[in-house]
Amino acid sequence: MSQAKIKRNIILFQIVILMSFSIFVVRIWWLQNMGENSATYQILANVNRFQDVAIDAPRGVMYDRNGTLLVRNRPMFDVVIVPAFLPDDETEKAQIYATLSGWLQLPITTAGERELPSRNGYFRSFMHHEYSRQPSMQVRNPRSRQVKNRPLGIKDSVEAGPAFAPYKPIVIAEDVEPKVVALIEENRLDLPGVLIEIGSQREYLMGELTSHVIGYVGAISPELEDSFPAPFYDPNEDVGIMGLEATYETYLHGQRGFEKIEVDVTGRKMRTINKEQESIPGNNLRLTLDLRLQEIATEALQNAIDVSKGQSGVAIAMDPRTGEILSLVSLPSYDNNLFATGISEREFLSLAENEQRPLLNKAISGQYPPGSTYKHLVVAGALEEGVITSEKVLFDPGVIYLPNRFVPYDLELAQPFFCWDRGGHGWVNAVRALTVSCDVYLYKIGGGWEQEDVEGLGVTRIGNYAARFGFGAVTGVDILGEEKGIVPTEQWKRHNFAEAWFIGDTYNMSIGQGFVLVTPLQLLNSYAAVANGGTFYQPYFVSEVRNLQQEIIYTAKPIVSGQLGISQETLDLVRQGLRGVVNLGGTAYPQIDLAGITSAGKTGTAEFCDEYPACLDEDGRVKTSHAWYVGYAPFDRPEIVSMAFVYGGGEGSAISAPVVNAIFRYYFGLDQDTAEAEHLLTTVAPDTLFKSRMVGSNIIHSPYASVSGIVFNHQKKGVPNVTIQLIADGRPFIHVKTNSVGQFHYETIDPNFAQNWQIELGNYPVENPIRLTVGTGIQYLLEFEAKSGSQ
Amino acid sequence: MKFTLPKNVLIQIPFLFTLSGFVQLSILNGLHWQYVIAMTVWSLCFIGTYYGLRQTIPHINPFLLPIVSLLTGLGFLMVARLAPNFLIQQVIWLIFSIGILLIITLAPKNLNWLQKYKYIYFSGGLLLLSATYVVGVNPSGFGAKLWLRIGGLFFQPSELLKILFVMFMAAYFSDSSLKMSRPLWSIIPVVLMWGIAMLLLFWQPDLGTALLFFFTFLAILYVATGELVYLLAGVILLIMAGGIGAFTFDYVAQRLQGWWNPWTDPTGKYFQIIQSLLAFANGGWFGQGLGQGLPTAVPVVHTDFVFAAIGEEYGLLGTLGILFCYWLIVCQAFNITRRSHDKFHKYLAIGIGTIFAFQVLIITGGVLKLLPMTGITLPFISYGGSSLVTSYSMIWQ
Repeated sequence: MSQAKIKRNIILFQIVILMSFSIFVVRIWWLQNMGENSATYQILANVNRFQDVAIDAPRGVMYDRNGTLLVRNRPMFDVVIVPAFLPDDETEKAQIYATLSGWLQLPITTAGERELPSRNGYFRSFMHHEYSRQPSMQVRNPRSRQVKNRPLGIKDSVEAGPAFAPYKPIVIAEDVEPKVVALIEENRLDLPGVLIEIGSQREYLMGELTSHVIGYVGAISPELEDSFPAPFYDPNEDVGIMGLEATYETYLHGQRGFEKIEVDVTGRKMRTINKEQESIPGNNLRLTLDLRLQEIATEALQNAIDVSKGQSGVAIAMDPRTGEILSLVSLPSYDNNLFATGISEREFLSLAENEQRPLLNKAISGQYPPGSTYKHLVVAGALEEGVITSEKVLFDPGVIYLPNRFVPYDLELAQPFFCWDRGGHGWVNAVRALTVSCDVYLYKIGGGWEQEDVEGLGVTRIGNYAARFGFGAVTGVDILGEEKGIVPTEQWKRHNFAEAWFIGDTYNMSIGQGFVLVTPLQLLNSYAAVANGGTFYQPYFVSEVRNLQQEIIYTAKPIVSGQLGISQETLDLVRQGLRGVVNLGGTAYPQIDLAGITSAGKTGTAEFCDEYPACLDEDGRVKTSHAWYVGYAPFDRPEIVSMAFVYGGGEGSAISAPVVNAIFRYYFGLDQDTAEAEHLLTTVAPDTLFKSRMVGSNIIHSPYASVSGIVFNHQKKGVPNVTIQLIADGRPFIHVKTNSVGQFHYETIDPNFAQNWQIELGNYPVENPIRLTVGTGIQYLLEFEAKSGSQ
Repeated sequence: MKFTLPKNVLIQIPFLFTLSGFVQLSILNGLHWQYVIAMTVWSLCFIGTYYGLRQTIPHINPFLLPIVSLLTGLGFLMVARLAPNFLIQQVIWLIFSIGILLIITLAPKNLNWLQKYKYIYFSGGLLLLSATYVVGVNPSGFGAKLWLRIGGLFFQPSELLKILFVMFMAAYFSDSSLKMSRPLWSIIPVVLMWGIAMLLLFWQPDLGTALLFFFTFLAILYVATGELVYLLAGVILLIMAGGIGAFTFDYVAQRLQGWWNPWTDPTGKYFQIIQSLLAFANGGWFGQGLGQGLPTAVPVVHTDFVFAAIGEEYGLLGTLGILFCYWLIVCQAFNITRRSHDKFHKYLAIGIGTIFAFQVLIITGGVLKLLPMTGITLPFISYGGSSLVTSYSMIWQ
C-alpha cells in the first residue's frame, strides 16, 4: 500500500476522532444546558438523588400524676457496615473486623466453629449469650440467654449481604452501648465503611410496676394494617398494642413530617433540601396513677400473695368522686420492655403459658366469684324490693337445710347451706348481716325462707340489681381487654348447663358464689357508686394530654356512666353495714386500721375449685378460696375506694384487707412516721462529698437542651431540697432545687447562649462536676450520689 | 505550527494547576500529609523528567510531557478528592510508571526483537490474562476478577495485553514477508490471535477492554490494508455480537438496557450511569469547583466514572480542556506515524494513537450515555495503577 494512501487513512482517522470528541463536547453541553431535557432530568433525578423521606415524630411520653416520667424514647444505636466502603485490602478489612469484634463482643466468623450440642440447652445458651446483641440471628432482647440460631460473625454478616448491592448498609449489631458508639465515632477514620445508625426505642422506666396499665408498643401486624393507614404510619413503625399505649394511640402517635433530602450512594442523607412538612411529636399523657401508691400497693399485694401462698392478685385504688384510678396492680406482672424491644418466641411462650397468666390484666380481664363482696347488692335489692325491712331480723343457726324438692320432708335428703361461721350469727338484721357477712341471712333474703315468711328476691331480681350495680357490663375503663363477668339467669343456666335453675343456685348466687363471676374493677366500681351516693363513673387513667408547647389539648372530665337508682335509705343502710365491717365485731375489724379516719368495706372469701376433688377438705367442703376486700374512706366523704384480691389467698379479711389498709394509710399519709424516718434518711450531712455521672441522654423535641437528674444519698435514696447550680461558660446561670424525691429538672438550656455548661451542687462539694457541651434537643440525665465513706 | 512560548511555561502550567488544586482541597478538607506527598512526588517526577529529557533528547516534543503531567495532576486531584485512601497507591504507581517511561525512553531504540518474537510475547500476555481465570481477584471484593495480585499491589493483565497487542499487530503488518496479494489469507494468523484475546476478555468479563481491542484491531487493519471491507465486516460483526450477547448474556443485555433506557431502574442497576448524567448536569459551564460538587453520589466514581466527577466539578470547560489534551496526544501519535519511515514504528504509533483515542472515546461515551457503558479507565486520570503504567509506556517515542 502506498505511503500516500496510509497518510490519507490517518488523516481520515484523525477527523473521525476529532468529530467524536466534538460530539462528546456537544453532548456534555447538551446535558448541562438543554432546557427541556435538563428539566426532564431534574424530574427524573428527584426520584433518585433526592428522596422524600419521612421525619419520624417522637411518640408522646407519659407521666404519673406527680410528674414522674414513666415512659420515654431512648436513642438506640445500631452499628452498620457498608461493604463498598470497606478497604480493599484484606488485612485492613480483617483489622476492622477484629476491632469491631472486640468492641461488640461478636465473633468475626463462626464458620469454623463446632456445632454446639443442641441437647444441652443450658450449655448452648451459656456459650452464646454474649452474642445476643446481634440482630435477627438471635433474640433481640439482650437480657435473654436464649439463641434461636447459630450466630453469624461480623464477617459472615457482611458476606451474607447481597453482593450486587454493596452500598446497602448491613446491620452488624443492634442497640449497642453508648460507649461503643463513642469508640466507633472517635475512630471513624480508621473504620471506613462502619457507620452508626440512630433509631428510637420505647423504654418503660417502671417495667413490671406499670406494665398492665401502660401496655406496650409493637409492630403493626397484618390484621392491624388497615387501622394504621400508610401515609400516617410507616409499616415498620411501632404502634400501641396494649394498655394506654393502644387506647391513646392517636394522641401519643406524632405526625410524621416529610422532607426532601439529597442522598449519596448508600442512601445516606447528605443534606436537607427542604422540609415539606414539619414533624409534630406525639402528645404527652399525664396519668391519674400515683407511682408511689402503685409501688406500695404492689408491695402489699405481693406480700399478701406470698403470705397466703396464693397465686395471683389484683389491687386497685380509685377516686370515687371522679373515677380516676390511682393505682392498678395485677400480679404477677411482666416487663413490657420485652415487647418494646422485640420478644423472643421462647420468652413469649414462657409468659403466655405461665399458669398465673402474667400477661393478663386480671383487674379488668380476670373473672372470679366475688363471694361475700357481692352481698351489698343483694341486701340493697331485698330492702328496695321490700323483701325485708331494715328492722326485720332473721335467725342464723349456722346452717340451714334446703328441703329436697321431691321428698321435702326427709331431712336426710335436704341440702345443707352453711354459714361461714358454723356457730351461726343468731338474730341478724340487714345492717348486721353485712357487718358480720352472715351467709344464712343472705340465703334467706336471696332464695327465700318460708319458715320466716321471707319470699326471697329470686334469681331474676338479684340479676337486675347486679346489673344496677354495674355487673355483667364493662365499666368503660380506658384500657383494652375488659371482660363483662357473668350475672347468671335461669335462661343462662339452661343454655350453658342444660339444667333448670334451682333454689340452691339462688342461695349460692346470694353470697356471690355459684355461677357469679365479676372482674375486680367491676366490683370496685360498684362500691365506688355506693361510696359516692349512687353515681357510676367511667374509671380512667389519663387526666390530661399536653402537646409539645405544653398546651392542654385534652382534659379528662368524669364521665357518668350510670346511676344506682336506689333510695337514700337503702344506701344508708348498706353503708352502715359496710361501716360495721371495719369496727369491732366486723369481719375486717383488726385489719383496717386508719388511726381515726373512718372507713367502710366488705370482706369476701369466695370458694373456688380448680382441681376437683383436691380442693375439698375431709368434710367435703371446698377449702380453697379467693380473698377479697373492698373498702372506701373516709366514711362520710369518701375520697378513695380500693380493693384487693388474692387468687387462692384464703380469708379475705386476713389476706386482702391489709393490702387495702396499706393503700389507705399511704393515701391519708398515715405512715408519716415512717415517711419522716425516711426523710431523715434522705438528708445528708453538710460537706458530704458527692460524685456525679451522666446516666444517659434522651432525644427531645425542643429548641433547648435540658437536664434532669436525681441526687442520691448513701442509701440511694433521693435527697430533697438540694440546690443544683447550673454554670454557663464559667458564670453561674441559675439554680434549681430537688423535689421531695430528690429529682431536679431544668428544661431551657439555650445552646446559643452558651455551649459549655457545668452542673454542680450548691451546698455540697462534688468530686467531678458534670461538664456538658450541650446540643439542641437533647435531655441529659444526670445522677449525683453521696460518696460512700464520707458521712 | 510554531508556538513561541517560553519553554518552561509549559511545565509551569500543570504545576500551578495541580498545586492550586491541592491548596483548594486543603482549604476544604484540611491539610493531609497525603496531599503533601502526592504534590511533592508529582513535582519531582515531572519537573525532573522534563528537564532530564530535555537535556538528553533535545528534539523531544515539548508538549507531550506537560500534557501528560497535567492529566496526571488532575488524576491525583480527583483521587485525592474522591477516594483519598487510594492517593498514596496512585503515587507509588506514578513513580513506577515514570521509571518505566525513563527506561523506555533512554533505552537503545533497536526494536527488531519486538518484531521477531511477536508471537512469544503476545502469547505470554494471553497466558497472563488467562491466569486471572485461575488466581484472579477483585480488589473491591466483588465484581469481575480481572486482577492479579503481586504483593500488596493489584495488576490488571488486560492493560499489559493492550500494549502487547499493539506491538504484535504493528510487528505483524510491518513484516516484509507478508503477502499483500492475498489479503484474506494473510491476515488469518493475526485474526486468530486477536480472536483468542477477544474471547478471553469477553469471558472475564471485561467488555470495555474487549471493545477497545476490537476497535484498535479494525483501525490498524484498515490503515495497514486500506480495505474498507474489513471495516464494514467489523461493524457488522460488532452489531451481531451485541445482538447475540444481549440475548445470551445477562450482563451484556443489562449494559445495553442501561444505555438505551436506564430510567427503568434508576436506583438499582442503572444507578451509576444516571448519577453520572446528573453529575454532568450539575456541572454547568464552569463546574461546581473542585471539592464542592457531589460526585461521590456516583458509585466507584474514582475509576471508570472519573470523567463524570470532572464534568461536575470543572464543568464544560474542564471536560473540553481534557478532551483537547487527549486530542493533542492522539495527534502527536499520528504525527509520528506521518514522519516515521519505518513501517513498524509507523504501525506502532498508529496503534497506540488509536488505542488512546478509543479508550477515551469508549469511556467518555459510556459515561455520557452515548455508547453502552463498559468499564475502562480514562488514561492518566482514573485511579488505577496498571492503567497508569501502560499509558506511560505508550507515550514514549
